[in-house]
Amino acid sequence: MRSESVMAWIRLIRLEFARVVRSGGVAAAVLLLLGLGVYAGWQGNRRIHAAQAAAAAAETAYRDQLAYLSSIYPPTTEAGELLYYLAFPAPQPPSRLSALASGRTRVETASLRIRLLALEGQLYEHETLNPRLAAAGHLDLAFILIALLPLFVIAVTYDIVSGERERGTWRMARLFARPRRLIAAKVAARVVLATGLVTSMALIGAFSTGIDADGRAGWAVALIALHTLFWFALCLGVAGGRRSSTANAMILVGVWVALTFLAPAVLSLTNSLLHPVPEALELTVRQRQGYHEAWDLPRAETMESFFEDYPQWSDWTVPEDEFTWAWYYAMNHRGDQAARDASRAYRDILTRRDEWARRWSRLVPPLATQIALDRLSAADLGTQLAYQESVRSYHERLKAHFQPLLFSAAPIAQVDWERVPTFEPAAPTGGASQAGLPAAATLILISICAVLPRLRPRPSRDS
Amino acid sequence: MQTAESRAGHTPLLEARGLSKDYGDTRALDSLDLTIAPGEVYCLLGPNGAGKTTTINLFLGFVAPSGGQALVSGLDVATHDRETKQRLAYIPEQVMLYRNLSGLENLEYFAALGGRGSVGRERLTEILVEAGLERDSVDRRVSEYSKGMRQKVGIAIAIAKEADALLLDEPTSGLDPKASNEFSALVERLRKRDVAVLMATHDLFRAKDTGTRVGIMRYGRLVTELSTDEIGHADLERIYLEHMHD
Repeated sequence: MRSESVMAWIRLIRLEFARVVRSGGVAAAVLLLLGLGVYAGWQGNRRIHAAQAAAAAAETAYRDQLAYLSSIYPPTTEAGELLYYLAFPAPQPPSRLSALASGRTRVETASLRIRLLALEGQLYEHETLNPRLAAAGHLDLAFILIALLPLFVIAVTYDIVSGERERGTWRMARLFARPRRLIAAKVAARVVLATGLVTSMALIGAFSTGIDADGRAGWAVALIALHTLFWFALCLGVAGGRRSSTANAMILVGVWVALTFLAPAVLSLTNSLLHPVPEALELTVRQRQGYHEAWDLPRAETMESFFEDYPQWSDWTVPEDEFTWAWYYAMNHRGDQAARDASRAYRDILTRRDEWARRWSRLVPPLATQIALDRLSAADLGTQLAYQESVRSYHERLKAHFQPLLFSAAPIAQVDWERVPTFEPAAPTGGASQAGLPAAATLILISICAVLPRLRPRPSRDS
Repeated sequence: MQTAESRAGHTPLLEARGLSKDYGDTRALDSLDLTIAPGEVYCLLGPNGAGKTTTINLFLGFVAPSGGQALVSGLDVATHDRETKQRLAYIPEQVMLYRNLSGLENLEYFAALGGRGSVGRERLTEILVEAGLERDSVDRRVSEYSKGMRQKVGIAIAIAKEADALLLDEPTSGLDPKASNEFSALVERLRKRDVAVLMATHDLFRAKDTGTRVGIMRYGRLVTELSTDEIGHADLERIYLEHMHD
């Protein structure tokens, strides 16, 4: 008896699946989404390769530059002069998951080359993307799965009940089973179809970019699955009622526009108004002013500021009438000191923005999913700030390494280039669960709320 | 008047007791009393709006009665929705099937929907053939079927369901004479299997030919009942017209 029932379910879902995929529109949509998935996977792979190439190029450029500078400067030249030009590579290896969700990786650099001069300006000195292009977003797998796949879910689900009524098959079907059984079979067939589609795209992404099957990838897959199920729940909540197919379609497309575009835009705007952020350029200007003012200051005064941060050199006296590299680099440090408070405030407000966005995104499931995917892919704002912190730390280690040579006016010949510190990339911000759990909880909770009205038994009515 | 129960010696499969239905201020069905035993084909005749389709919808539980009871095997449709639906098959004027499935797949679909997953495709094909569909048509999409072919799939669905009662709402409307005859033959085969049939129709000839009893309805009321054994075609037409001109 049980096997009869199981076989009936399998047969029912298989036939419902056949019904859905035999529709020309559905087949075309599946092919379109798969095509876009292949394209996005290929683009993601290209981005990863480009980031890896940029990191490798930074290393090569450093070695080439060092070789070149060593060849043109006599070994007796002060090391400070060569260090003025030398840029040290600070590449953050890309997360392979960023092929799935590129997040901020397209507007922020993760492969800075740092000189021993004032740092703040260098953090924001990189090629910038045309903001008009950035505003349009980009076609990555996350966009397809979060923004476009729901449209597909809507397209195959909006008339799940109304279509039966309008075709006239609802009455016939009701003689064979409770509406709930029919709807369950219909939803199951569509979930199978969407799962196949998502799995295909995930496999395309995984194989084309070599994503590791780790906890982060697991959470990413879970979130995409939950997000897709959320849309099924929403569709069922709307389309399980007695409205016409046209009304269902209009409501669902309206909800899709609101959740995918309008609500994120409103939240972003609100966030910007609540947490106004000064331009990064302002930090650069402050740093430049702090540095340039020092040209006109007594050198002892500049050194006093420097000794506040590096008291170990306070016994050292700079001559007022003579150029020294120690003073020059201290002057650069003064620039960073001038921008320090503003820089900290800038980072604080960005962090608050990030936290605010994460907190309020829980009201908007697609946004919560996107933010979580960005975080899992190490393509979020927190990761960018962590990268900048790593660069700051690296800059400090470089300064600590070279200051003895600068203060002793050591020649290039005394520099042991093999012992120069190397950049240590930032660790991903937060664990995978920390990134995925809030969004997962949001998706589950809102899905239950969406489908709950349809699970309650309703009094029999004329149909 | 002789009741179905006494004629067939069975408990009525379909029974209406003072069954009424109002749509707003309009009374669509007025205190209908009706019994149909297994192996009976009861034809409801009457003009449009007489209450024939409403009667069928009430037995199917598609609408709730305003008064009285519709019983299937003694179970009240209003309180035993699932149990009564399990005993019924229904063929409307236009049998609506899934157009992008074949006839066989439609039969499989409804069988599976009813929880029957182990009936093989061979057996289902046989049922379709028994219902009059050509064997080489069973795998064609229903979108390519004529109305008569869809009606046959509808009959096949009823056979596969092994329903106790079959409710037909203008089933031969729009069918050509040959297809109508084939349809009547199918109904007759079901009757011989002790299926109770309630058929709403405008076709007096078909009612006399297929039915065992005929009921004439007007303004929501059953105005007369006749046994088809006791009257000829001409009698039926005369009686019908008499009632229509009252």
